[in-house]
Amino acid sequence: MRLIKETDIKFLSQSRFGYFLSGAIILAGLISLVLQGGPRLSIDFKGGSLVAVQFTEVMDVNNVRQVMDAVSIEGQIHNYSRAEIKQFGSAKDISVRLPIQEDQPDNFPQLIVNHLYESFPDAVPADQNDFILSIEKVGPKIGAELSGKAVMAIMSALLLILIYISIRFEFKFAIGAIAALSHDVIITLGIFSIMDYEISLPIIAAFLTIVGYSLNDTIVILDRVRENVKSMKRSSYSDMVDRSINDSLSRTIITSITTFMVVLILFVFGGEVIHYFSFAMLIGVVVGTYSSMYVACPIVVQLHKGVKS
Amino acid sequence: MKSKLTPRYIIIALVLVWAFYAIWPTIQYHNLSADEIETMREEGSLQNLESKIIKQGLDLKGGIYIVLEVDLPTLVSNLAINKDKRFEQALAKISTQIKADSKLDFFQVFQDEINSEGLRIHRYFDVDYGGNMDEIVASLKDQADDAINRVLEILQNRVDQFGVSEPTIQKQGNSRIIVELAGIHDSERARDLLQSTALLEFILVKSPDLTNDMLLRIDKVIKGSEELVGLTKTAEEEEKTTDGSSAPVSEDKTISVSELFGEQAAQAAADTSDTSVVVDQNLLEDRPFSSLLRALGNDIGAPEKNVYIIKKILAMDDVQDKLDAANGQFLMSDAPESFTNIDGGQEKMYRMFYLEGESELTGGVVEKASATIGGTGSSASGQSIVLLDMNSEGSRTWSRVTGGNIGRRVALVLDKKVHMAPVIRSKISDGGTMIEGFANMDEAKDIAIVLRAGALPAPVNIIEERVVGPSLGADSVAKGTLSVVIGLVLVLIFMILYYKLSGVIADFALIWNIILVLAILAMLDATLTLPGIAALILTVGMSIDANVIIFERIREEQRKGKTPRAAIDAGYDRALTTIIDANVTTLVAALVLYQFGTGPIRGFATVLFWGIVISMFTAIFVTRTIFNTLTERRGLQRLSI
Repeated sequence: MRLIKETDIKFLSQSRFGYFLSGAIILAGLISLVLQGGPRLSIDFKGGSLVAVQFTEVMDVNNVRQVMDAVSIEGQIHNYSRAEIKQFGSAKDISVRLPIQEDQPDNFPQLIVNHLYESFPDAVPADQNDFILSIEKVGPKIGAELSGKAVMAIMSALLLILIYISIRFEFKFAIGAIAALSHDVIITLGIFSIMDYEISLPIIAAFLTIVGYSLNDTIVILDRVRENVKSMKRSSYSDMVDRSINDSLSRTIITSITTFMVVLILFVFGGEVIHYFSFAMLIGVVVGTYSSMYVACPIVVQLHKGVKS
Repeated sequence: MKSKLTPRYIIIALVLVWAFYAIWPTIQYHNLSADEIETMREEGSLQNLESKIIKQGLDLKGGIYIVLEVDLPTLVSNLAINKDKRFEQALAKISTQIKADSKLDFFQVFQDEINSEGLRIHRYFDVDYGGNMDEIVASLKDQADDAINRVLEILQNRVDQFGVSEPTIQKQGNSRIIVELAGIHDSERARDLLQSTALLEFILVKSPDLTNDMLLRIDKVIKGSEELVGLTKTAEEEEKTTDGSSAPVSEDKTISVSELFGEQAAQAAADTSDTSVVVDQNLLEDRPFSSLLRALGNDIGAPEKNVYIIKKILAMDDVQDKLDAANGQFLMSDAPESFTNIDGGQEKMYRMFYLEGESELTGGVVEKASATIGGTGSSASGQSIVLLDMNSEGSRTWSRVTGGNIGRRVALVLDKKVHMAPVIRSKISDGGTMIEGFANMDEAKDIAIVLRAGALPAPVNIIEERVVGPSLGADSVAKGTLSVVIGLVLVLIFMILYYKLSGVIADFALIWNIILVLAILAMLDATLTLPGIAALILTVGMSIDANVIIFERIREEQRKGKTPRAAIDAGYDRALTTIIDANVTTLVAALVLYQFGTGPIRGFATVLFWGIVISMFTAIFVTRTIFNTLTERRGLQRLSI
């Protein structure tokens, strides 16, 4: 079976269309990011508490909100009905997220769980430990540290990759590859902002995987360019790059299909915890494939022209 | 020709044998029934087996991950002598500063603050610490280091006694401890066990006369305080409007915190909608502090609703001065009790005790502690109690204290909470003591554990906590496994459809790949987490890439008219550098992730890294060997690709 026969698509002549499309999506994402004052960060980076509990019957978010208006913390009654309360996977599961509270006791999230448990005596399991799906509490210090680490991780990954490609290929290629993967991460970040999804630790892992995947794709094409430079000395540089994209097109499509397939499976069947991670990866696979053809290659050609003239 | 391939066969066979050897314990373990596991545990062979299987992370197994931080300001404060107000204020300021900015180093800030405040540091520390700032800070650092190691040891001790299989307790940086308790689901109990400072103190209770005297003084202090001006006004106005009748009736009235403390306090409690406290109106004006309290026989009761405000008042500087001058302190009981009030309603109240400023004896003298049920006939009949045995020095002191204070009450205080305050009836000379006042046997057991393991040299704060309940973990395992299986099957089918016989060879390599990754995980003692499962699925998608690159290349070479054998050789040769270059970058990303991440993220990075490394082996080495075998033995004419 062959999906892709020998092709001769003029990818580079479509690069204007590519710039336009990418530009539009990036702009939409950036507008959303600016309007929302930056990406929506999870408690991993902002600090705060997140509890997820499982009721024995379908639970309405509004009922939970109602009982959250009078939570007793060390004898004081607090109103947390404005907390972020939503469904967590199934309709029986509810998650409540609260920012860091002034003077909160160390067992603050536990007190929230206890309050929910006591508020719905008819809809909870007999053992309170079966009621708890997860509890997360991140102090402000840890949050700040994790943010710093995440930025460091992405930066150092980029730097290492830049060095590797510069050594194995040429610096121009490295610029093209970095542009493509930055493009992918920015678009994913923008779509997350538009969808109002939050950036958590697993999402950072997804970003780095996207970086890896996007590069993988770009390098396979650039590797073809490196090879074709020798055999196609007579053609123009851009024709040669076009030829390289076409040569590797079949592989590009097949690998994208298999990867997309498994990530889609993960997205559908993987459960709540991994849901947003797989969503990020879904975007990453599509955008990563596109960007190696429509972002990395045109930039390499542009840089090459610049060097010549 | 056959001999050329033999080394390859040997390598492949060896790897295969190794992989099954590495995975076998895991298969064995998962086939064990619950009974068999119990038997093995008793025999002691379970631990050996468990150490060889692929570990599941907390997010899969369920469990608790807690990061504790030693409270350095308190530690330094505990070490200091001749503490005065200025020193304490400086420490409080440092404490807020380092809380706000994580990058600050406590000792640096400490040094700066002491200097800028012009405090003479050697006044506050023993000569042992040295004479100048540098020496003192250096030895404080040593002390802090020592303290964290002791905390680590004590926590290890406590966790061991708690009975957790394979706990992880490790130091991070110079003031943090990470504790991972897999399979433990009672987060509340675990938290108490870890965080309890376990400082047991025996403190004499001051006489009722002195107590009343102190209450009066506090009333006076806060009556004059500006913070209460708002309160008196509102109270008067309300009296005019609602209570215009003749004789004032003793009646409870609800007032808000802002009335008591003015706007500032109300702001501090921003989220608080119902900040009302219950006061006795007759007393409100005259005795603002006492009005917050109740009489419970000989004890003072603090209604749960008023506790917050009572603590605020007790923490006020002026009040603290009075308490210091009288060498006394107010402490509350560890849990509220329910009382029926005059109109038949239930009211929850803590007991409040006025104690001597210093303890007679601390938990350091405890030699043995055990939880049990109080015997019939004793005051604690049928209740959960903890029995203590003291060492000889402790017994002597205890005997002297009890002998000299017959008729007085002594409070048994654990972590600043009063567990009981019995009257000393006779001299206790053998050091045996009983503590009561526990909610249940579990609590008594845990307290006995922490008392045995000893008190922490400094309090610890929980700065990060992640708990995964058993059902979420099980759910993740089920869904993760399902995703891996479906994803794998789809890719396998796709490859056969697309590349026919060659696809079968690639599929073979892919299954191999997964087995080898699992074998490596078992061998490296690595932990499989939910993101790790995600990485396994990604590996399925991405590792097939190496074969796709090779096959596409072979097809290309065939189109150029090469024979199957030549096409295969050319395909593999040319694809090799592509595959390596393309994969190295993903490996870089995985390594960076490993470096930056903790727990689940590390699990992801580990699987991704090995998945890709192994895919290069299976996709290049193993499939090549199969292709070569095919072309050699059969003299293949047509390649099914």
